[in-house]
Amino acid sequence: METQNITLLSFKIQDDLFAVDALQVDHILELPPIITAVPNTPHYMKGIINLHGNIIPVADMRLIMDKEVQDKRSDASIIVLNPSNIQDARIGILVDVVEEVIETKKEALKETITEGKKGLIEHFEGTLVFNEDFVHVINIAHLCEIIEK
Amino acid sequence: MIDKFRAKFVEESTDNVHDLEEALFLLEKDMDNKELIERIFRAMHSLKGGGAMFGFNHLSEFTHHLETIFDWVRTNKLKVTTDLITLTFSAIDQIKFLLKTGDLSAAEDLNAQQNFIQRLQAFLSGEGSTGPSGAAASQTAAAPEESDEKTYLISFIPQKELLQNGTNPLYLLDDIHALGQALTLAYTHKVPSLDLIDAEANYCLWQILVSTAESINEIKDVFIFVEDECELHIDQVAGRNILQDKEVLEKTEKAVKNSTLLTVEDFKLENQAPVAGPAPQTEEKKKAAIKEHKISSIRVSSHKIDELVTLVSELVTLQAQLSLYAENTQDATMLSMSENVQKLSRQLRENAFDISLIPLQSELMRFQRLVRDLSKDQGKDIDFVIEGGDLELDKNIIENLTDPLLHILRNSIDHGIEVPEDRIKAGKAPKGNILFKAFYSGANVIIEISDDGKGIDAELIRQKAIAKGLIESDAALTEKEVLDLIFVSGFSTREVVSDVSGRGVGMDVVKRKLANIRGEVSIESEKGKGTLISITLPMTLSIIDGLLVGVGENQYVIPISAIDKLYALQPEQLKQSFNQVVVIDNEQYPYIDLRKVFKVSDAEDREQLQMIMVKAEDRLTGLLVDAVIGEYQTVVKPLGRYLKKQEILSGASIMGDGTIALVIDTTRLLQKQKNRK
Repeated sequence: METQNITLLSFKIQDDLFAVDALQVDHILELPPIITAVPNTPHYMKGIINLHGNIIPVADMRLIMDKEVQDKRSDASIIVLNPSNIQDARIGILVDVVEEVIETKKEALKETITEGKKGLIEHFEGTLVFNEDFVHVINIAHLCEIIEK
Repeated sequence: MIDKFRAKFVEESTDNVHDLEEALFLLEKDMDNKELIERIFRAMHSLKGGGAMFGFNHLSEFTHHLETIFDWVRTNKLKVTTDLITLTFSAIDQIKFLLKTGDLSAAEDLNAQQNFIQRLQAFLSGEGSTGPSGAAASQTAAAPEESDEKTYLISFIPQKELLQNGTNPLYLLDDIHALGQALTLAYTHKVPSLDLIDAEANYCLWQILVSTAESINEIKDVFIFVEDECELHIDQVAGRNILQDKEVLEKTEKAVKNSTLLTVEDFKLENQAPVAGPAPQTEEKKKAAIKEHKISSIRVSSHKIDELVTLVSELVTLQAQLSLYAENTQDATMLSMSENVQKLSRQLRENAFDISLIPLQSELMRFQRLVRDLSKDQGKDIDFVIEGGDLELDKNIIENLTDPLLHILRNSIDHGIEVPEDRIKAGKAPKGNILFKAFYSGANVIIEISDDGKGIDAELIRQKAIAKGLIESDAALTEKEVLDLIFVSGFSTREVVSDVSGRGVGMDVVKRKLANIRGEVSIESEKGKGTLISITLPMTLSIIDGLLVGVGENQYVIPISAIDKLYALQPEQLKQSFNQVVVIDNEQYPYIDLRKVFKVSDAEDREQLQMIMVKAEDRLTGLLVDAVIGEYQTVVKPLGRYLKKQEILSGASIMGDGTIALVIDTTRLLQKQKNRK
């Protein structure tokens, strides 16, 4: 079988490591001083930011993953995703720390073992063992679907 | 990948169809115009060829039959008649349908398609038998000239990029071979050594000697899709088949060996009298004219333009920050530089917005079709005049404008213009007039549709409105107020639902649809004289004049157009009020507290309150805000798919300092509030 290279961007949410397909990452931003809250939106929707003149909604991954919200988040960043197969669907996700870019093979992904639902995300693309840590790979299309609901 | 090409084909074909319709309209007025017939034929040919290439097989097949008809017309075997034009118009509708749906799969669609093709064929055989003498005569006249085989030298020198569009030049060569006996000479001397080769570039060029009875146009048609990507020369070199001549064969061998292209001069010996001198020249000229036309405008995807507008908006934002900074520093150099940047960015912004406008013209064809088809159906004779068709509007406005305009036109034809007999009885010319007029007025565009039909009977409207319970029987209304009743939902003037306008969509829908693009509609009518409907539209949707207000920590923009008055209130004034009603100038107005709508906690006490009176459906409602910040002209940006459930916010706007203000859709806000009660 042909080996398929994949590039992932990993990030931390509380104590867990997650990753997304790095090729669908548009920008990585520092947490801006103001995220304009939009009233009457789901609780995980932090608000909108101005990215080079475009309005980008930002979702808080801590809330999506059902973790407690921390007030002080000095390393927090926004990863702006640009899903390749959905139009006009750029979205920022707020994470605790952006870790690193991982180059690996698709075969290295093992099935993610979860006990029940992990936050709002129903399934993962797989789990990778990297530097003795587990990195759970989030499917961007699935994530966008959840946020859009 | 292929989808991209298909989309492009559909886009180009839409242009072709558009061109086809336009030419057909002109042909209707000038039935013997050869150039128009040729134009129609060419458009059909492109549709057919492209259809087959991009997998629109049904389209291709269908157009083939249509093309045959026009081939007959072109060769004088068939005369242009009104019937023919009507048939072609309905065929164009079928083509549009096929372009939209691709290949048909539903049985009924297939049946309809077959029936239509039979109609086309019947048309051919029917016409063929009625006027065979004339057709035959012209055919025989043309025949001897064509039956002789001629030899052409085709020099096909493609550009390097030829292959990138998915063109396979070998297929073109195959097509040439299909025309008659042919000899292809391939020149490969331009192919570089292997280490320099670009695998996606074309380095080959070809010369083909073809001996065929077909006309030079047939050969040109083979190259129709690549003519912009190659240098192409087609010359007649002999009036007979010279492919067997030894001399010729020697010459070709030599040419390939030495990599020197054959020229017409090489065949001078064989060449008799120069062939049809002036004709190809005019052809060349025509082609040159077409080429020139092409260069004067380019096709850019709307996505790219949106991006440009976005970037320019960003530049303007940045520039505002810059001038603020420059003013603070009071540095003369800095100040003059920032001023220059401001000038430039303003020009750039105006330019960019100008680009995103498209002429109204693009939609007018549909209106002409509607008027033509309906008036023919109803036996009415209508002169439809369009003024100001070159006026430009925002793409989004035009997209949303078409349906309301079509509806208004339908009304004019269906209810307005009388049949000729009635018109004569009323002392009018038998031919009715509909005038479509578009013009600028300040920052607005006004579109007027007027007819000289029977007008609207205000008394009749009044009776209907009473019967439907829309107004009290003793309501004292001015004539204008009565006419405005037709915009109220649940009102339709005809008892019998007509095939045309009474499709369950009334003028209220027109009004609502126009309101979506911030347009307003009004009506004037005089019984027996005619009706005038006028629509006022903003020039662009993306910029609005707005009032910036503060609610809680956020800033919001309320469109100025919706605002009637502002009042500063003391908190006490509010406390006296009950049931969400505020008393201002001894009048009671309902109000909405935006803090409640946007769920801002009421913790901090508000010292000064502002009440903004907005107008919707002729009623004033107050919006309670914390502060009025000022008036701004802002660019409205969509909130995107994740926030589309946000009903009362129509978008967001980036302020000069880079912060974001949310834009309130007052109409929706009031509606939502009303429904809650």
